[in-house]
Amino acid sequence: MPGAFYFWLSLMTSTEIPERQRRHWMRPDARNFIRPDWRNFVKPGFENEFLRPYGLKYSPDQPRVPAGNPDGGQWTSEEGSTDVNAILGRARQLAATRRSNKYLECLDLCSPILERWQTPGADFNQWDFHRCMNECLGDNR
Amino acid sequence: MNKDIAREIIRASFKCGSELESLLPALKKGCSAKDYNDYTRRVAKAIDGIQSALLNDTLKRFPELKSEIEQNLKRTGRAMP
Repeated sequence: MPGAFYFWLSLMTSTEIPERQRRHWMRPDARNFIRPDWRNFVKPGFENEFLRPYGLKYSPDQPRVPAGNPDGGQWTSEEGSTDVNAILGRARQLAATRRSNKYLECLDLCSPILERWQTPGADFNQWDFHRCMNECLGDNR
Repeated sequence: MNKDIAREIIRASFKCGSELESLLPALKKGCSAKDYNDYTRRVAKAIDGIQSALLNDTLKRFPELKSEIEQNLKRTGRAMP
């Protein structure tokens, strides 16, 4: 019921309702029920107001993959250690080499992707991990 | 196999992977750095096992589902909602 969702969203983002009261109405595990596409429903600039009751923080400075790229808009790592494009590049380099322990090297290279923060229930990390392992080892495994 | 069954397989493999992935924050909180690294690798290996056994073959049979997954991810954050 989209109407009910928007009503709930307006309650959650309203600045007129005290924080304590808002928390009182929420399940303790409410953060697990945030839709992966929540950003589509929140006015830009109000992300933190939306996330605060769930105990989450939005970081607008966290770099994103630029638009036009297949990963456009997705968050990348703050330190670049889990930047998917960089990892995929390294995976391609590794794919061109012959090593006996290549599988473990690919696993070590790609596994940080699974540690990225993402909205609960989202599949971005798994999909990027899948792409990374296939780049590294080929999809004919 | 038809495309709907293929979608079911993809949905199930992401669901299994998601269960495993959800272990990582708890492992990070409750394990030593050495144990955490060790288990992260095991979890990654298990997810790769599921993906290479189910996802790769299914996407090879239905390559068009790859772009469907990418569109779904952009739209809903889920691979097969």
